[in-house]
Amino acid sequence: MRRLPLFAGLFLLLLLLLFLMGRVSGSAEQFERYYIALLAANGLFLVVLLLAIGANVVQLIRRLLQHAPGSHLTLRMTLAFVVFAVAPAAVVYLFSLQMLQRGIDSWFDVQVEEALEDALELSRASLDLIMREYLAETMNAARRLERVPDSAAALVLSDLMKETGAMELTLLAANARIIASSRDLAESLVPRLPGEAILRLVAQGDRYVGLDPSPDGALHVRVVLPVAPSTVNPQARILQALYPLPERIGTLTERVQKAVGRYNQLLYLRRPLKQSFMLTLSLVLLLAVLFAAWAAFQWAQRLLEPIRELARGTRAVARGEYGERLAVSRLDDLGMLLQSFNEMTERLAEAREAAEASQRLVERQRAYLETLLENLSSGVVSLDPQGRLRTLNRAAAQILGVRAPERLIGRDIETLRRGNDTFALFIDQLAAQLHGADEECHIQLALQGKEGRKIVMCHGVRLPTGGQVIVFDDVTALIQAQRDAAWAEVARRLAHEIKNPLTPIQLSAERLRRKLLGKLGAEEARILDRATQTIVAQVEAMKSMVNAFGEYARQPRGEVGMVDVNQLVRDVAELYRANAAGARLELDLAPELPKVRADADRLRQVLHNLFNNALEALGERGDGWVRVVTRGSADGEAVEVEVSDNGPGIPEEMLERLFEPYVTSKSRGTGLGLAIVKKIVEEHGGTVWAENRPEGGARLVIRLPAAR
Amino acid sequence: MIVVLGCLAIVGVAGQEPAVRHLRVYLEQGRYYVDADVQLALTPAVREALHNGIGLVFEVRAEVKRENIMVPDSLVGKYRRRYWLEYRPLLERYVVTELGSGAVHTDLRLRDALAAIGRVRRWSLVEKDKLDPRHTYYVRVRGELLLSELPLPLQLHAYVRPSWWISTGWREVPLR
Repeated sequence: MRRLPLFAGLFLLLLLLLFLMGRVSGSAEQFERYYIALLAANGLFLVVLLLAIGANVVQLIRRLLQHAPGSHLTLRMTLAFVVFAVAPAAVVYLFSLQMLQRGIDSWFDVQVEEALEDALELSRASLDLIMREYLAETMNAARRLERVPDSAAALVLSDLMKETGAMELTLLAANARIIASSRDLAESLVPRLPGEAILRLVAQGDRYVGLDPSPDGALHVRVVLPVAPSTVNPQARILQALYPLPERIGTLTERVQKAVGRYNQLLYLRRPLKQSFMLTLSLVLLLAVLFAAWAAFQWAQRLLEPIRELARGTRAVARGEYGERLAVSRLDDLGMLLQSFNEMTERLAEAREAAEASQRLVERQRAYLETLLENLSSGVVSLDPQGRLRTLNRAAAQILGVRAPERLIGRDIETLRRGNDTFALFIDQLAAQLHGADEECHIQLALQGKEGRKIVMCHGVRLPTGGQVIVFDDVTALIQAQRDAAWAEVARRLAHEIKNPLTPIQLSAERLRRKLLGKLGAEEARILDRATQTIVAQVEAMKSMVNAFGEYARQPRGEVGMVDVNQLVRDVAELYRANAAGARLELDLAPELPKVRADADRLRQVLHNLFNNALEALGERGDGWVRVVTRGSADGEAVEVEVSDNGPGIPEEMLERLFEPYVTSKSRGTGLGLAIVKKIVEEHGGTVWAENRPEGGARLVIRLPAAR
Repeated sequence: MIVVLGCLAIVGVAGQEPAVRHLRVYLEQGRYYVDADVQLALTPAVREALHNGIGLVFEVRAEVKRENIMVPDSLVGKYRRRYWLEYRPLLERYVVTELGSGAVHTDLRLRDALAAIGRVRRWSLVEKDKLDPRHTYYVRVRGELLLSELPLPLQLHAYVRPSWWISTGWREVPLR
């Protein structure tokens, strides 16, 4: 819109210049006066237009190279505009050129030219006749003056002027001095003397007769001839006579001369005239075409400005900048389009703001939930409808023994099952339990992993969107603690309620034996002896059992120090090598095993118990072996001692409760060995678990934290 | 009484090229006068135009200028005479008309007509009193064909063709 005044101004200027060129070309006087100035003005306008177009072309090329939106359309529209403007203008131009050539050539005609030449020749002939007559008259006058002295020459000249009809007679000396002169004072106040060339001619004895123009434009005949010397006048003199042309002859000859002159001039100017007209025409065409080209650029730019604005706005929207507002400078369809675009982006901005606010809220809630989940002591696992893992919090990873849980997110159940045994067990059992459940279920699972057996309480809920969420707790420690507390109470009561009567029972039985053995017959004495021995033996056995319970219930009070587990294993193994009864004892001890912080005596008791159990499990087998392996955990945080054998293994039904008191597969013993092992290990912050080897035999593993 | 205080005659080398052949400045009764012979010659193109009815305007121009050191010389006075030269086929003569006075002169030969145009005698210039004696002055004279006086179609033609550029160039003589 801001270019409109410039455009209109230039257009009016162009029209004015072209109008003036047309007007001036039509008037010879104005043509000569203003043509150059107008030509210069048009040339200046042409240069301005060229500069403007050049600037537009450079700008367009730059936009084309930058692949600016609308640049190709601008190019096409401009070219179309120029072609539409140039094509008809070129036709008119060529037609005008042809007309111009033919029109100017039609001014000239060979016959007219010849007629004018003939008229000129005729005029010359006519004037020649008159000049001859005047020459004859003047010669007669000169002869009469030959014997007239200079003093009387004026009177004679006056007479001769009347006789000959001359308008002026002048007698000159040889040096051009005026001797006498007679003239019509109305024509001239002073004699009109001949020029030097004529005087030189006459001085040589020749005669001069010719037509001379007067200042007023009229022609007169000038005759100059020598006056022969005589006895009266020995000096040579010169007579000049001026005769007027007959008016009719003068007028006609003057008209003929002007016509011939004008025709010759036109004939001569034909080529320059054509060139001037062609230059004018070309200039006009060039101005019109260039103005059309410039106008095409302006129009295309104006037309495409909203499109460029739209492209700019679209790019801004693509970048996510919804705040971009397009300038609406017009009220037409394109202006409405821009207005609609602005409304659209405004609504988009509002929608995005609302979405962002919502997203921020969701993010906050998610962060809150994540924090909650991460800090929950309960494990939380969620699965999507396709069975892919969606959530696995820290507690769940810890319970299930999963490392780098974030890598499992998004994996399907099959993948999860392959990667982790505990997890696989968890998934399998859960799947079996959840399969028939409706909306929610409560189940207890027993998981066997590298760290032993775990009891997990699960609460599964089916999500409204599909999938499931399982919340579970590792209740192993809780259950174990309950059992331990119960057994500790049993041990305490046994120690208190049973151990105390045993000594009187034993003493009473020994006293009975001592008092009565000598007083009874042989048979009765044998019976008494056996009975009292049985009572004493059983009391001893019960004492042992009660002591074992006491040991089990005893609170730890040993000295804690740095213990080299390998050395401890070697020491204990050395004691058993001699009593292995044919079984092979193998040690596979890891070098550079970290030390553990523990009570060495109690750890030694743990090893005794494990060794005992393993050797007793082998029984009388000749090919039995017990293998003790020590190793550090992969993360260097723990030390593991694995005691395995190739015995009969542990009955499956006992595996779950193997470390509880009185759970044993042996016919003898207190049934507290493994319970004590577990108690001591847990006192040291470790874990113990048992499992059957796939090849046969059992494997018990204790895991103690490595000292830092 | 004519008192010639100073004069300087410069006689140029004779030739056909346009030139100011003779230039003389003299002082009479407190006024400077100049005599000059400005030799003008027509090229064949111009002569052809003349013989085809094109009238030519010649200008003889004189300028009195004051010499300056730091700035261009300043113009004290300028004087010009213009002559209209035409060929009349009926008369078969060249007619020279002085455009100021209207004086007409005819010649059979073009050379004589051009000589009449270039003959400058007793051309009145500036009065001596109007000149500052502390400065140096000079007169310069030039004769040329005025292309701007040609018929317009011919003007465009003539401006771009050196054969139409007829000028003697300046010739100068100091005022004493």
